[in-house]
Amino acid sequence: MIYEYNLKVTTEVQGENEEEIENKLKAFKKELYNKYAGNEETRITTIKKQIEIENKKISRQELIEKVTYIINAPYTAIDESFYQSPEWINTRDKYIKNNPFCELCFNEGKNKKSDDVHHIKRLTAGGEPFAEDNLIALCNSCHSGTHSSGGIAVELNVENYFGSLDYINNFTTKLKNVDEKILSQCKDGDNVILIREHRQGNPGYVGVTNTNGEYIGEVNSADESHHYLAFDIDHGSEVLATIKEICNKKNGLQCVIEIKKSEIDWEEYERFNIKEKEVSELINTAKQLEKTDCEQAIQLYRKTTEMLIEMDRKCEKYRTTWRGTRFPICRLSLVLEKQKRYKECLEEIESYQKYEDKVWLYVGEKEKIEKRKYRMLKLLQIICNKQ
Amino acid sequence: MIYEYELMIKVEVQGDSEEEIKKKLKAFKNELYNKYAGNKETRITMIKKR
Repeated sequence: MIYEYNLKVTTEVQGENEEEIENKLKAFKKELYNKYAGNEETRITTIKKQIEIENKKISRQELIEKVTYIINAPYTAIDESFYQSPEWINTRDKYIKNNPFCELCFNEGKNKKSDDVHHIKRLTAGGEPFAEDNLIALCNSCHSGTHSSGGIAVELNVENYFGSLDYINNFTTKLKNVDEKILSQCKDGDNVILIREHRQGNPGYVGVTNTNGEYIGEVNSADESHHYLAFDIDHGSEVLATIKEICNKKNGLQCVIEIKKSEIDWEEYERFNIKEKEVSELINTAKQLEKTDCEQAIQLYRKTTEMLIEMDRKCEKYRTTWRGTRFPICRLSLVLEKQKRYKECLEEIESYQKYEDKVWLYVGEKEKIEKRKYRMLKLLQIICNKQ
Repeated sequence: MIYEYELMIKVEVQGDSEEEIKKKLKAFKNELYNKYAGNKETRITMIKKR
């Protein structure tokens, strides 16, 4: 019996210009056909180009300009229930299905999975909720960048942004998880210190201490108008905070603090950003080399580790928290383990664990390297006993 | 620059039973993917049965 199947094969072609790309695609189709058309049991009968996934005709710069225009529109609260409506969920899912890659990254030659759909013109500024022209598929990074004070939306229009949305720069907020004992020793008008930490499960954590470093409470980063605070501190903005009011309520002591932020140092941000992209590209190259040239991959992982440490060292205390690129320790130790270089593998893991990494690893990597370390210790013990 | 395309590939699979054919198709998809996903300039990113 013979069955016929249709396979949808998504192919990525890289080239200097459209002509070169077309030629490469043709050559690829020819290669596939020549290789598999003559097979006896599983053979290709036809290959057709079905769709060319279009390049969205909006650039990062254009989006910045559009968002800036929107920011200048009067701000009104967003009706969050809209995002739970079946109409929106259907539209969003359909749009993501048709645009599987972040459209901004795709324009710049990178393929990153799209995570969410963004309204180019904000709904409260009269944007069409379901019109495809007003939608853009973005990855998490570009999406948060679009919304955050530190992202693509405003990086060229800082004055405009801060000028029109003063509440982001100066605001009061009620602290949560307060330590009543320490708080009872404070008074209105006292200066407090904000501590930014990138905690697992709460990446937007901003703690508050008194000037002696004693914990008072934490800023509620889930509060929509205040989540910019963590982003701003990450991007080097100087922040001053004072106690505005301490009051005794039914549930105990409550504290409201007043926060004043300064501008982000965009030059510093850009410098760091370029360096980080370089490291990220080297790590990707190392990943590709793992199968063909292990030694080179190991060297690249070690080099990028040194670069990240250098970046962390050069940056001020809290700036490292927004570094997106993680240490490649999980990959490096894996390659070393596969190469049976157990001692080196163990040394690399221990050296990483001694390092105070403020950004953490990707989810699950910490556990993986912990298990690998245990395995290495066992193996080295066995080898040692044999000798 | 990188462009992405969807290719529709028709495949004929021969076998004695439906199960065998399914297995062969799966093996074929795996072979294609393993062979071309790691290419630098022209690479397969996804294969789906339509």
